[in-house]
Amino acid sequence: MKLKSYIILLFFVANINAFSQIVLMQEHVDSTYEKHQFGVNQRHYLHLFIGLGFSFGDSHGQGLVTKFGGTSTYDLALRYKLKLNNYFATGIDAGLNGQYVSYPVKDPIEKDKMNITSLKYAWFFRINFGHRGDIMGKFIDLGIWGTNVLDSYLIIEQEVENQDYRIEETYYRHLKIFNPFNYGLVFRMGWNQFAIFAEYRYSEIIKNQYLNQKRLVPEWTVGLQIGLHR
Amino acid sequence: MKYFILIIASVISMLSSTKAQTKQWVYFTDKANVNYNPSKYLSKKTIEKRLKQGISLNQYSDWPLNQNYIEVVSLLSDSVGFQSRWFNAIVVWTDNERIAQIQNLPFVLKTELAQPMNSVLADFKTEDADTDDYQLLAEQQIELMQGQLFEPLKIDGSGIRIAIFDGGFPNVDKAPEFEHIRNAGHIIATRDFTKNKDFVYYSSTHGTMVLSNIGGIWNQHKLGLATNAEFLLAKTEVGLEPFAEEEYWLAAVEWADQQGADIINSSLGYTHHRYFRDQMDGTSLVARAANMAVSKGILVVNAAGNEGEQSFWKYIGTPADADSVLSIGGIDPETGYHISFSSYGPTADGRAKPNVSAMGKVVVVSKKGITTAYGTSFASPLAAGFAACVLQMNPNFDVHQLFDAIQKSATLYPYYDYAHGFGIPQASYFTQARHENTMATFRFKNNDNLVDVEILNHVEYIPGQRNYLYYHIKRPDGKVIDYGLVDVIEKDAWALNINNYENGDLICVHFHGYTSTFKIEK
Repeated sequence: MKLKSYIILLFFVANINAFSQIVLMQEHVDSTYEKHQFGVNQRHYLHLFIGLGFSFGDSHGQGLVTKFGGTSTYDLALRYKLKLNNYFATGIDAGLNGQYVSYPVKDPIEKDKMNITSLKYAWFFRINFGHRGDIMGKFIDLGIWGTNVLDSYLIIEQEVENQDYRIEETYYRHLKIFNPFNYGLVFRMGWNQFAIFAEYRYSEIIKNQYLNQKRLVPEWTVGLQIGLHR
Repeated sequence: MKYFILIIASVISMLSSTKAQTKQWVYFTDKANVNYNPSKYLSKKTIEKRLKQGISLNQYSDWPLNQNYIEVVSLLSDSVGFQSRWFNAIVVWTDNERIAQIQNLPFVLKTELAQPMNSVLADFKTEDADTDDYQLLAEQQIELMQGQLFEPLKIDGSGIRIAIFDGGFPNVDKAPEFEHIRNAGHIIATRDFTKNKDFVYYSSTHGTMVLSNIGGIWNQHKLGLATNAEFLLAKTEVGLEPFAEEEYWLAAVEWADQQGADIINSSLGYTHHRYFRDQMDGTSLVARAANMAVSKGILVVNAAGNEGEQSFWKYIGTPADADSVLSIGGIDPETGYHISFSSYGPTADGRAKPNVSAMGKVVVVSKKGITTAYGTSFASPLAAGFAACVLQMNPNFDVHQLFDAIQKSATLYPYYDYAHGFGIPQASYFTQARHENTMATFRFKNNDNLVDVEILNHVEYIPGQRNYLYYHIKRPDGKVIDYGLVDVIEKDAWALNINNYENGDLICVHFHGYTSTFKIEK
């Protein structure tokens, strides 16, 4: 432990005796010789990451509904990485995922939005490229993911007649229309803290019996994840 | 889904094709059938230096490489880069398949990946101040080493050739602070190893700042001590916080030797981007190159690093970890002890580093003019300038004598720790033959499990008077396990509970120039 601030100690704690001085520096050296098991490019590593993605494309061939940028996902999660050797690693993610879906106004009267908060988890296999020291380096990840919906809203915007075309939003919470479990594949390409990801969702956000052209969500999401580590 | 598979397949294919072509060091087994004439390869200055230091002119490591070997390897490569005489190796770009073929050649010893890597010491902070502050700090950076004592003796680095490895030297060809160097024709040679050309007066201002702290003069104030030295300027870094490559450093060090450098200042280092902490044991390629430079009579001065405040890596990088490199830590001018960002030792194999320290907050000349800068990058050239003065005063010193003398001249010697090394080199050691203080300033008292330090002739404490007591506890093999620094207020200055230590461990204390050791016996 290093103490660089001026702290007047009436009792010199490290030596348990009554001496008076200002401790300016105190260093212990033993640990510097050890090879660590925990670290960015050590055997085990755990870090937080945040992610932002945008959905695009078709929804399982049923026709494009949202515009790119109209549907976004947010992640705040923990990632555990187990280094297998200099080239391969595996790991798991667990955290919160938020999904916001906004459809373009097709109907002049009504517009839908959806807010879904889920517990998201994933398993991935990592391939590293190039020699590196104690840094994340360049890598690609292939993995599978799943989500369990924790909270969901369907928001319907309507123009209120006879009130100067004011828009009114109505919130519907915990509707049974949402699939409680979603799953898919993920691919990531990263360099140190930054990773571009592409996710494919096999499942539909909305249960089949409630699906219609207004409530389809594209199955592709691309975005950026930022690892909150050095 | 088919798009997903397509994207993944293309990315993997792209990455694997990138991986296929790699940059490799190819080491040869021998230098058979080559001709070497030292007088054609080495400069007159190098020959004189080697003769003076009793170093052989005909060293195997100076012999050229076997051109036939290079030609055969080049047939299995896309291109051939730097050729190192010292390591009998060349850098090639080739693919994995051909690497296997190269490895099977009878004259190839081994191949090794030559990856780009980040150097870390080019990172520095600057701060503008007013003229008075610059003047005060400029005086302080010289006086902390007692550099003013060299002045009346006309010791200014005359006749000493200093090579600087850095990221660029913009404005050195124009700035008035270097006019005396230019007018005297003291920029002997320049080389940009990153672009393979001679022009170096561009790119990162870091090298300009470093040069200013060896030989710059601002408003008649010396910013470094070797204002009359000769300089070799080598650009070895690609940018400000660049992807430099070890081969540039290696190429520059061989060039500097050929050009007759007495001292090399290298204010850069490599840490976690390429290495793990346990690899900082002086065995990296640049560390080995630095050691070889020392064996050829060149003092290599290297900044300890600016990682001291990092939680994940606060240790010195390489080549500061090399055994024969004089590694320089940073001192805070406001407190007079370790500046917080200065990297700590020891090396991974437990050798004491840094060796000595100099000011880590300094006045420098940048490409925009005078400014204040922070970093061991600037402590290192201050020490290099000091070394040039010592060498000028003691022309018969070989590189090891020079290295030892600088350590012995430092403020804390024979005490050392892994933050300050032996302290700040002092000119009075050379100009006035100052030696270690043998007048006791404290004494040890042993009471049961406590070892107390009592100050002799204690005077009333005045805040800010720097009544510093340095201590370390080391094993009998010399490896320090605990160390620290306290500002003493009372007569009973410090105490240690020896229950935490082993029989035979040594307590070493330094106070006001006096060092004494107490052996723990239970």
